[in-house]
Amino acid sequence: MSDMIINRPARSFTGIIMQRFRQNHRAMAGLIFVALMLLIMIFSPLIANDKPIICKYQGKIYAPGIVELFQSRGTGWHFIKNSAPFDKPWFDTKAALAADERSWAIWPLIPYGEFEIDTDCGQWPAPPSAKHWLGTDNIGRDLASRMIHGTSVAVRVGFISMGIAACIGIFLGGLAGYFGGVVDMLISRAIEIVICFPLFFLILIIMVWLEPSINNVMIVIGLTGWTGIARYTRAEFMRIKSADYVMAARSLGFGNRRIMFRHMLPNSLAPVMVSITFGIAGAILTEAGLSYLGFGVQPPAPSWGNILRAAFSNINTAPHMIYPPCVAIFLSVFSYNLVGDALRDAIDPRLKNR
Amino acid sequence: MLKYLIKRILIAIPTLIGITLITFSTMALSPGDPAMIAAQANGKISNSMSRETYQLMRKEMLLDKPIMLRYWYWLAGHPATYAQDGITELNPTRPKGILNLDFGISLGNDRRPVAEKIFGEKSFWQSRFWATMSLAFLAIGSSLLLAVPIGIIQAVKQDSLFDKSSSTFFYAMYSVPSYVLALPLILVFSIKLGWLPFQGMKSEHFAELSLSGKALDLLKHYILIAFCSSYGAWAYYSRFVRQNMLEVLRQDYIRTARAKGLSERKIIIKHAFRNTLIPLATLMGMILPAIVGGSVILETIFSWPGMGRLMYDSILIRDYNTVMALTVITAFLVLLGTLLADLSYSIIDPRVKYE
Repeated sequence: MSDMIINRPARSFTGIIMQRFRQNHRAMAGLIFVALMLLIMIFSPLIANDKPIICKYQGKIYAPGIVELFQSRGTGWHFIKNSAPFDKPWFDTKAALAADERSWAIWPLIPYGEFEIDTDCGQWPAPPSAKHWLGTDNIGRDLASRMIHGTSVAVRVGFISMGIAACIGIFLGGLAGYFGGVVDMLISRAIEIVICFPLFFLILIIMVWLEPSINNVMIVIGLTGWTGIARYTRAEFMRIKSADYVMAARSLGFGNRRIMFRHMLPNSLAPVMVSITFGIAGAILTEAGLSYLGFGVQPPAPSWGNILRAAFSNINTAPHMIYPPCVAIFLSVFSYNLVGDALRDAIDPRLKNR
Repeated sequence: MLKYLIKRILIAIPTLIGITLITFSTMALSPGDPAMIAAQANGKISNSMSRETYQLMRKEMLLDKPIMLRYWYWLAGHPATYAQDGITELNPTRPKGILNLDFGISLGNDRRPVAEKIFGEKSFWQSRFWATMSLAFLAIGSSLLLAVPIGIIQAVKQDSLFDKSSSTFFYAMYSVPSYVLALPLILVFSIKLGWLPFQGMKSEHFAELSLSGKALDLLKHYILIAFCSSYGAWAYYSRFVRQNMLEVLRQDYIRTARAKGLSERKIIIKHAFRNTLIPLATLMGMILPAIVGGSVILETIFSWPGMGRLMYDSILIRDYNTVMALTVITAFLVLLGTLLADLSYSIIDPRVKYE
């Protein structure tokens, strides 16, 4: 009998959580959608682009689409430059390839760039058609392409802003939970102040101060969104402060920093992850809202929020513009919520034996 | 109890000071000032603006003082009277300070007292405050009437078709931000079908309508925005009630009640539901800030004359006094909400005692 117990492979807490998480099909679907968004962000130049993936032009083979994988879109900063003539923004790839009889090209799925204005599709905004799957926006840009390239904003805002929030939240919450006393009181007061703030008001006020841009949006959301994480971390640190292994570490003479970050933090991360996951969903919403009000990502750069804004200002002429950003925002928020919920269920000790 | 109340109120004071201080300094440090914006909008000063007029406006708005001093004036009032400053052309009013319950004068073009701007000039029912708060009350009321019973039924008939379909539906609804759903709704109900208006709170010819016509007009304007600001709360509440009921239904005292032969109805309403009321009270306190804070986008979409839109407009013209007033009011509502929630515990649950 005792042999059996001893021989059973030991499962770590993380392992148990992962196993329970994997059994939740809805959460796995959410996770798959998140992974899909990541893939779309990384491979967006190969999915929707006004330059071909690979082409032969004037006797030479070029791969402008593949090179763009390594470039940061919408900025002048490039890790690798496209070879001439594809590096010139004014170079009309489509006309040039059409003019060169011996050229060939493999085009992306959506052969339109997010800034490219299609002049020969008649009236703008054009409704969905075989040429433009989701139609064009009010100034003739392919909506599907803008949606694809807007994905990166949602992904980046979610991860980076919550990364900032997690750093602040874990640090402050950890300090409060570990030291208690005056430190705890001060930090708890600070958390309470931020919680009582109408947060969207504060974000708006700060966004007026900073100039609107995606980086500032991420910073502001990160600076204001750490309270939930801090509270979770604080509660967890308070709980495990008196655990045996912390005592052991202390009696071995380890410093506070080492005990906090090497011993306590890994054991308190699970509930904090739940808060971070929900925070990502919230951050995507806030970014879309800010972009909708005109404080977020600035046009012409695409983001779901400012596509929504353009859609609403053309609601009478371009009803087809409304649905894609709405569906995209919903699906991404929904996926993160599913993942967060499943994570919470997985670490809930009350549901352990199910 | 009284001691607890006093303690809570004393704790609220530094919180309020922290909130106002952060808002004030952020506003004051951000570029652009109301004098410049107001002057340009007024057409008083063109590009070749007279420095003197601008300086005069700055002085009149107390913008020439250091930030901390300005915060103090806003808090406790300005000592000097208008005549002593020697300004005759511009608005003479000086702030009496928030401690004297004076929100000051709006720094926007209209120069009306901020309190009048928020709480209404003639009647409270036409005020910005009421426009937003009525939405919040509708959200809370409708959640209690609609979402709570649904949550109870879901829990009682756990894993039934109704439970599964409605909880999945509500869960999906919860992930749709209100402003994202608002646009398709406007598209369908206002533009395609033309049933419901989506601009503002009243039609233009509101004054000419009969009493019943007025009521119908208001109702039509309320439907879309009230739905959009409420459904998130419905989803949240029903989920919450369901989870809590499921937990309570497993308790021993429910089994006791069943064993003693009470009807299922009585067990659920009298024994089970009462025990889910405590966490429900906390939610009440939390929902108010969510609605008021989330109102900015929704009110902008619907051109709703509420506090959220006023906030947005005031931030754009750097109307410090209005922004500060709105911040204080919302923060105050939040603190009040949490306090009321805590107090209602002791009424709902006799086990809870505050010392």
